[in-house]
Amino acid sequence: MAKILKALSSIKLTFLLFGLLILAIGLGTLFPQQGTPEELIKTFGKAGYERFKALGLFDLYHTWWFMLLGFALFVNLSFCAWERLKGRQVLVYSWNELKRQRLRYSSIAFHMGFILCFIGLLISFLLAQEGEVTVYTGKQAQISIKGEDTKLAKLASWKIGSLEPLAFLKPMRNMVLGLRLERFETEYEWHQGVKYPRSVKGKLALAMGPMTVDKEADPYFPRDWRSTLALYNDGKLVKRKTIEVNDPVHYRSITFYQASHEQKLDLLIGETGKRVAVLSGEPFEVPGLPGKFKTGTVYLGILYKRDKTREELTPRTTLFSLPKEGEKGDLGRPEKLGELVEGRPLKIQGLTLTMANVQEGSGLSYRYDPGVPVLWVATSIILVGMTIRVYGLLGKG
Amino acid sequence: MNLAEIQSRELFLLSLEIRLFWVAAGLYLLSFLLYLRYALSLGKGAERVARVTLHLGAALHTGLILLRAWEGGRPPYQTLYEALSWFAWSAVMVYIYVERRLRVSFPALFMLPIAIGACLYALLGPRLDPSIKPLPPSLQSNWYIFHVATAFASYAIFIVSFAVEASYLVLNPRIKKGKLQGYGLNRSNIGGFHRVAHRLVLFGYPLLTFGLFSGAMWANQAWGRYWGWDPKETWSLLTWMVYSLYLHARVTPKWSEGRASAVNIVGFVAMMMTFLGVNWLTKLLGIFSLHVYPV
Repeated sequence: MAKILKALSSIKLTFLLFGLLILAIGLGTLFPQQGTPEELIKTFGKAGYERFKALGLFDLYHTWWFMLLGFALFVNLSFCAWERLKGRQVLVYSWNELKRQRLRYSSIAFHMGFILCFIGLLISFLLAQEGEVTVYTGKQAQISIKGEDTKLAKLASWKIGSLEPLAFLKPMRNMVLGLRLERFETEYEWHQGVKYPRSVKGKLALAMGPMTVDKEADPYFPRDWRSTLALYNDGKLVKRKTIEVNDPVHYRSITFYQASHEQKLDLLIGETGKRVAVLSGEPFEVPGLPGKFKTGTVYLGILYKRDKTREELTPRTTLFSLPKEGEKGDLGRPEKLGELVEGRPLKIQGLTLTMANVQEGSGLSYRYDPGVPVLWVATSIILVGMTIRVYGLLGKG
Repeated sequence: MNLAEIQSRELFLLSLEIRLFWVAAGLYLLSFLLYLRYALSLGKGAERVARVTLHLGAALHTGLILLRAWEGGRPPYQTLYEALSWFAWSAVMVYIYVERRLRVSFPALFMLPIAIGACLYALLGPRLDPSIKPLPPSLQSNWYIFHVATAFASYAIFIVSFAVEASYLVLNPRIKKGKLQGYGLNRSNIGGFHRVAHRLVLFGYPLLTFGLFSGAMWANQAWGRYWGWDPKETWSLLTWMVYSLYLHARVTPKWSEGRASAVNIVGFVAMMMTFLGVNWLTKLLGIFSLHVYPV
């Protein structure tokens, strides 16, 4: 028993586990993780795909053996910390004593921080849930966090015959939240970069000679997307906030993030009264015209210019025709047909198309993760402990 | 100023900056050649001139970094062009400090080729664009400043640690044979290289840790997940683990000498993979990554 305990708390085991984890992690970056079987078969061939899949190399970080390695490191760290605390006075009541032994205590503290980190990761692993939802301005959507969908619930329902030994791990209650997008704003910044030469020769010539480069054509650089969200629980408004990338909204361990945006519009065809519903960036057909089409991003919102002025943009986008399926040559490269501006007709092969009714939707991602607060506490302990320990050691010379 | 005038001014500054960047890279190259001459022939004059040339290059480079920061209104490490310039500059600055403390010039022979390589890659890399770009929404965060600054500070320190360690590995066998006395090196003081390399890693390791954690905090704030096993994230964890291994090796009797040196070198390779190698790896293997620079 003593030998096992000694082995578990040995630095040799730490070396071994670190070495194995480094190898495993490195290996994981050589294989695409969580790709679709079609993509992976295309890259590795059927036989290669089957072989590597059996070894878990396409989802390496979720394989049992990788998790076992992580758990072994957790055990090793715990025993190392225990070994260093064993038989010693753990709590210090004197400031002078703490100051005198600050390096030892800070070292123990940051190693304990790593143990706490593992606990936070475990909570995330067992309880975290996430999803995505798109809401259009003025519309409502609903999201639900279901206790029975967590890994903890799956663990709790584990059976041996008719016995459920882990049934005490009751899943949490379900939570349903309503959300309404009250306002969505897009902002662009006028940025005209330069077409810089790509060849070494061109770059050398540019460094030696006069700086003559073309300016880029597209001056709209996305500056911000903002969603004003109202959150409802049991029909009652519980929170309202304007969120943007890097500034999410939190409600009871659920966080909503600004992830993307969607645009839809109507294309009015001539004076027939017909209209085609279009989702920006997605292929569509126009009755009376051959082939398929798509639009680029619809620019609308505010444009901030370099001369410090701002302009309210009239919705505008580019219309492309898509190459026919199976057509060889320049396949996949859409051909630019013209500029669509809201209310201004564009003539294509004798047919006039007019863009109308542009709407923007906010792409939101949400996550419920009770492990995060634990991780932030652990992180703070690690950083403070490590700073005192390492810089204290440097100060000692 | 109207739009045309603004564009004309920007183009002039960009053109000036590129030319001065070439001069700074040229000064680093000259400095390297002079350090090499000193190392091969013990020319004290060459060493002095090499040091002055390096200081001149660093001063010019500092000016360029400040100019770009002023023009962009943010720290200049957004694009690969900017990151390479910052990488080279920070490594040179850390080296200058360490050289003053160590009073030995050999590590310059390992550090300067890295700095020069980074400068030349920035200036000649096929897909690198030197124009100043606005920050996209995902980078508009205070974490951007702290996360990248601490990560790059650790990189710079690790490069110099590698240079000192590599010097130790190259010089130690010669000194054991009684050579290199003229350079003021002997059996009693060569161990100082190994200790300085260790102290540098001790200094850089908490910065790398902060870089790693602040990246996780930022990702959590921006995307709602603190860790995604993205190749760049994974390699930064791997680098952190190698340096953790190094620090443990240094306090383990059987590992504290040669093996620890080897782990330090591996740490440097892992760090270079995190910064640059991953960009190529993801391109080569067709793996998606949110973090890599296009190459």
